[in-house]
Amino acid sequence: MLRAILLEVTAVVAMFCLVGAVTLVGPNRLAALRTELRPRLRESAPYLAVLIVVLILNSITRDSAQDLSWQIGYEITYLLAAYDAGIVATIQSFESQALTTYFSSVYVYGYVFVLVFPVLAYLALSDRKPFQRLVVAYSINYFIGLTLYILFIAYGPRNWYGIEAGAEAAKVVYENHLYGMTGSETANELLTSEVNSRTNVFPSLHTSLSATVALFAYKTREAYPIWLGIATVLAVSIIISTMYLGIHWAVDILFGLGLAGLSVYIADRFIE
Amino acid sequence: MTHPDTASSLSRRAVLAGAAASAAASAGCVGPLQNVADDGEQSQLTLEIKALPVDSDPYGIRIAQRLRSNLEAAGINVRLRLVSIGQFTEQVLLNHDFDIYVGQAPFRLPPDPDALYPLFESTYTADIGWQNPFGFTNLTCDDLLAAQRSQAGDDRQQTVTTLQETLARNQPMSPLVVPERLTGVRTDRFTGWDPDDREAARGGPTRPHNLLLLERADDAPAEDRTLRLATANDRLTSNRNPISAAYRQEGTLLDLVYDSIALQHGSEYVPWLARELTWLDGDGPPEVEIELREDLLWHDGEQLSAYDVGFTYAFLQDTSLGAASRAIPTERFRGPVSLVEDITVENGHRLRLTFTDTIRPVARRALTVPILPAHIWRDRTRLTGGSNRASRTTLALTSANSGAIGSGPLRFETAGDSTAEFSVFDQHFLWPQVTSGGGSANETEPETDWWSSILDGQDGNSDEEPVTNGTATPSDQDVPTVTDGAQPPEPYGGVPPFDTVTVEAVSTTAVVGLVEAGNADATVGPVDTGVSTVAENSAEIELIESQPNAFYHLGFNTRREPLRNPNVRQFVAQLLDKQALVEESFDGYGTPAASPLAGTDWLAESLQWDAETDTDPIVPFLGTDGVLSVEDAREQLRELGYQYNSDNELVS
Repeated sequence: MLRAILLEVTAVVAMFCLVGAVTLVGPNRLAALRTELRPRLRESAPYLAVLIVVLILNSITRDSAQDLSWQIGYEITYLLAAYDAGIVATIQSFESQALTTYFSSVYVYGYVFVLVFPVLAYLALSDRKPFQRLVVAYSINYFIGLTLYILFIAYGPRNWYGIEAGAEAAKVVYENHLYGMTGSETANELLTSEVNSRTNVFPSLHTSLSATVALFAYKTREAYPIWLGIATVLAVSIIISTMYLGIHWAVDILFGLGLAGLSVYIADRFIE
Repeated sequence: MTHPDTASSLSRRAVLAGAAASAAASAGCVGPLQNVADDGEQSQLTLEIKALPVDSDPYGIRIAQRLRSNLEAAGINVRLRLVSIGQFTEQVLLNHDFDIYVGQAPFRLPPDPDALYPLFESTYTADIGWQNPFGFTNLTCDDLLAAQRSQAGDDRQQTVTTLQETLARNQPMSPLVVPERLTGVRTDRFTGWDPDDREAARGGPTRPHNLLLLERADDAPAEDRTLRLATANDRLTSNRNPISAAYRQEGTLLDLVYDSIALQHGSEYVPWLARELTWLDGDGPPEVEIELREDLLWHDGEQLSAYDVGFTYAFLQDTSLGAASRAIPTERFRGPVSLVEDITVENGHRLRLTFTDTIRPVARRALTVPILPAHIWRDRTRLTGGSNRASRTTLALTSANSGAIGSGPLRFETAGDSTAEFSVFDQHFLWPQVTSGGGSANETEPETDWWSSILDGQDGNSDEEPVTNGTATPSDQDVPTVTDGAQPPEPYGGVPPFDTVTVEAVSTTAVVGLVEAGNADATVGPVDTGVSTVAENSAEIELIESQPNAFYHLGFNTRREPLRNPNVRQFVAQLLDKQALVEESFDGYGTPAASPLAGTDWLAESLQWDAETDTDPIVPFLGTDGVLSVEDAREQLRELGYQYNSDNELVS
């Protein structure tokens, strides 16, 4: 999903990053980055290479992974639905036009911004470790997430609840909202990529990646105190949005959070 | 049937508690689902329900969820499994790996009752695709299916009535609802969508051949000559094999890529690739002489001859063309093809089909199968193993047929992850004048006088006796003297207002968004009911309701216990309130059905929906207004010899 969105890096995200760069990162660090960018990237090249390989693997194996998944994977939608214990339905019962607009925007733009901005922000730090750890943590998230997608086949709540009136309303509003929000071309790409990955539900990568970013924000709160607040609010919103929009079950969120913790732990250990 | 009723002393409260407990317990395990009756130890009865996700079918899951909760209330453990369209085909239709599925019938047009033949004939149980997926074997039913093929008039009506009643009692499948198909169409680029506005046309607005009848909107931009369709069915992007089993391939654009000898148009069959069909009178079985149109071409430029047609019928009967010890027939069209007894190719233009002992209205169904190019398909007779099918098969059936060379009005161009593109085949017989000039319709707009001359020509012809295979043609017309090719059949033949057709495969909700955003001109196939709101709010979007006969039903795998038992199948059917389904799950867009022929003239009197009691005449709902009477359901199971354990679970 990230691939499709990144391909269409929207003006909105770029603008947010620009504003964030000026206000949060600050002119001094940006000025230093002018001369420092190349050596810093060169030093972190191996980690970036791993991340890029994982992302490329994801995009080229997408279709065959789907087939493989149906052959060898466990179909667990009914388990996720049983253990969800009505949490998604409860969240969706608060459905309103304003919330749908908010959560749709956060789900699309907020998510991309949360992933992209810390890459820039940590690159602007003279300490290389946060950047390298972040890249390693992203790679771990993707690698484990994609492996689990092959091992477990599951559909999200929107495909399971046919009767839930609230869920239906949110879902339709969301998809129609996407068109208004992103322009039809972007929406097309986005929906297409969602269709291809609609059985990739367990765990929630939206959750694990945004929680990863929030955990890093906590660790770098001295350098970027305001970012901790922004990242936390965005991460929580993104996580709720996946359930509000009927894309993930509560269990997916739980495992997403676990994956985030694991990836940050390994990244910390790996880069002392 | 005479098991001691150990559970009868349980109070109703305990029963309900048990239902809740079993629902919770069902969350506990992943693993093989077959209900196993171990000796000594009794395990809870488990049934699996397969259904498509909402993204592919907005209604199926609603039915499945209701059935699940009612089965659970009766003490049965249920696994509800969502499967993709591709997996539905593979698991249910190819491998018969299911207990119960929720799905739609494979045909859309009001069928001749003979459409039931391949669905229920017991010799087809070993076959795959929409050929007795239920594994239903019933000799009475077989006799009736065979009898209706050779009977006519009242006799046939009577047989078809008895057949429906037999099926209703045995419930190899349980017809539920004939849905109304909603189609969202944009009218700012193309008009003429509503088939009700046109004479004699049948099927929904996006029935493939109806697309050829579209008109250009007055204010449509001249350079914009692409018809954009949006669908939730992704099969076309990955598999374009017209003869392999696939979940509901009928009604896809493949129908416009492959031509048939005749085209079903409402209740009529109009000669299509044939310029003339001559039914030979005689005492024996029906025979038809097919005279092909002149200068028919395949999309790759090869000539289409009577040899291709003869090849197709032989090939569909055995795709190994004799290489396999047992014939490996096509996975679709098996019913109609089985009617063809003998094929005689007389010359490049003419061939004769001899049918089995049947009547003409049944025999002519065989004229609607897609005609395949021999030069491509004869290389696909090789046997292959595996390929997700239980038995050995041929390349013809496993091939994705990605090139899709046909002879139809649309030529396949390209396909991506979620899109497929087609172009208008300007050398098609529908547009003879376009090809005679050697020019392409893409480059040269037809001039007005030239254009009206075609129309005049058609009008002139329309007074003549239309040549359909419903009536015998006088023998003196056997050898027509026309040399410039027969006119295209009415009402087709107008040059369509587009050069290119694209299909975008997304979800049942996203198709609505695509139409709303102006990225698609029409939805094809199932669509979210949200489309009605979208149509209300936009002047450019219309909602068209049409009623295809692709009825929703429960399919039972009668090869497996406990569904082998017709009483159990009846019981499961009785857990659904069809009227409540229509109102609550279909938002009123549908009618309850008690027979696979509901919505046709052939529906048995005894299986009409009982408007007074509002319930199924054979398998009435065990409850009222959609709410199950748990006690009645459990009582019925006890009468069938089932028992409940101390946890109120049904054990076998």
